[in-house]
Amino acid sequence: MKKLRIAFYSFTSCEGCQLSLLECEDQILDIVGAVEIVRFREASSFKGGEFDADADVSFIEGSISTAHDEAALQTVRMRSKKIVAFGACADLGGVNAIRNRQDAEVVKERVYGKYVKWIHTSAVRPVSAVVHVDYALHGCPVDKDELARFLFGLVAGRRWAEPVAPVCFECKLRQNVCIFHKGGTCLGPIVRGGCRAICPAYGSGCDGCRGLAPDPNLPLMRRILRDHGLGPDEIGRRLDLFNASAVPDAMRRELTGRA
Amino acid sequence: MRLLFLPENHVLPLARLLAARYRFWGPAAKGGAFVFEEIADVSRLRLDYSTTLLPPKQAFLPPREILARIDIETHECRSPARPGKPIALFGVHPCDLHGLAHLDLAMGEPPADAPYWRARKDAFIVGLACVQRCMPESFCDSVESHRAGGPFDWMFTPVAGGYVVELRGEAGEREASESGLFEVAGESWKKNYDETRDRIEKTFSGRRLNLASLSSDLERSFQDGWWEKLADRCFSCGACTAVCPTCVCFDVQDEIAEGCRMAERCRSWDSCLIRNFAEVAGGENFRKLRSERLRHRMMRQGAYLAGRFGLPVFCVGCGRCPHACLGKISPLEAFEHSRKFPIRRYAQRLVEHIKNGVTRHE
Repeated sequence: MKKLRIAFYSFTSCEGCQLSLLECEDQILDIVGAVEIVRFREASSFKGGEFDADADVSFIEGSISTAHDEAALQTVRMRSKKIVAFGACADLGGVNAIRNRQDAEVVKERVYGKYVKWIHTSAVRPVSAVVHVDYALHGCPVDKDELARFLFGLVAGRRWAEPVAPVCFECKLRQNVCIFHKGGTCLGPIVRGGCRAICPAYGSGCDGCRGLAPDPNLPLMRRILRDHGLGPDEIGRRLDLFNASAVPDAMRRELTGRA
Repeated sequence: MRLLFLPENHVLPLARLLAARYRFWGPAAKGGAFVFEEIADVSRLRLDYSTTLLPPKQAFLPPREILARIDIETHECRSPARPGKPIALFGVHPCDLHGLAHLDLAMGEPPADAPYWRARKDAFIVGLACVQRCMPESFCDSVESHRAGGPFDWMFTPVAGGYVVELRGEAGEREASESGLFEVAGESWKKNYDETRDRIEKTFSGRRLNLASLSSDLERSFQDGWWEKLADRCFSCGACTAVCPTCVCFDVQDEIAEGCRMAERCRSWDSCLIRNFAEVAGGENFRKLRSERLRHRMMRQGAYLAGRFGLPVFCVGCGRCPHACLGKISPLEAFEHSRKFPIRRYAQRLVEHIKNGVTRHE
């Protein structure tokens, strides 16, 4: 089998999703046996140019928040046959996008203080807002087993089956006591699964790092969250953690009950 | 029917004996609730459990299992061997016994499901009568599954000082005599047993559905706009089917493993509530709307499968789905509502549909 050339690139992010590949400890030899890694700054000692490799599949981690990010991403797109939005920042905008809902100048001032004049940033965008994306691997961070399955499937030429069932379904399969029954709140019924409900399994309600599931019942989610003590502002903040820019305004209104 | 008596302090020794010969499954505590799981240390067994998060179905039909492993180079295909010992399922409440009976029907329909029956065939099943309602959402009495039934080898009924055990079949007799832990049930035990059974009937004498007309009522209400209203309370998340003792639908996916040397044919529980369940090649979806998917599940439980297997209802009223459902949707509510849908309106709808050139479902 011809080895698939893959590359990892990182933009505005914590670089934790790339670590997921290195965490595939018991599968890593199988993975490097099946693919050739041509760029992976976080895990290699390669000293050449960063964006000058041709790849079959490029994994893009992070959101796009500067003109430099955008230009580099355009280059990567031109040199890659397929692009994967890799993790919540690339897929949704992620945590970085929280600042899109605040005054950009105030935020910059707060973060960079007296160096603010040196910094040139734009609104935070997911990868798909800049270039065409072929696949998305969801999550903060991505699920390492899902990543391994995805890679092996690509090499074998299989079509990728995007998870559709919400977190709630997988949570039941894992025999977790419902977070709502424990007095907490959770976005599990409206959020895309594939994570095997890892947060509820450890006692924490879902915050939606994998984005909304298809066809979510938002008015019902609002009613239930309200009955459990979350008002419009709190629901908005809960959604903004990963989905500040990922949910269309009309749907956001449906969920929070506020414009 | 042969009755024996098992003193309370013989329960654990008996469980230990079974655990030596079988893979021992029973109810155990987990995170503030109960689950059915394979128990190595039988002292974890909790016969005082209310209900479990998932039904014991998973002992025979795991949420995810590998059906076959295929070597991609040589094309050699092998089914993974099940662990040698058969399963003993201990402490199954009547609703779940009925659930297993329904599951047996669905999985036994030709061609019978081989992996299911490999695990199920020699399984030893011990039922445990319910003397109190496990949770407010359960409605076993409405579908008459609160009494012992289904595929048990022993049925335990709690009485003062222990359990009266009904033995059934050759395996039930054999295991009981080999254990040497049972006592002959005397007159006083029998009296006690009858009293307990009376008490069970009194406890579970809640509302009863009209089971005779349930499936025709439901099918008639197919066109009722009420389903859309009910779907306002549905996330279509599939939690209801995940916790259901009689839901049998699964998905099969081939996955590539071990550095592309092997392909694994995996099956995992699916749900008719999930959006892409009825999606077919070309992107067509037979149940695009949430209300259509919700209605389909209720029809399966109350009409379709019941009709296919000659039962009045396929739901066992365990109450797990209304308990898990955040919108608090209960099959009981749908079953009861279907009776209210008047025949006149049904006829009207049918005429409208024929006029519009739309044929009825099925």
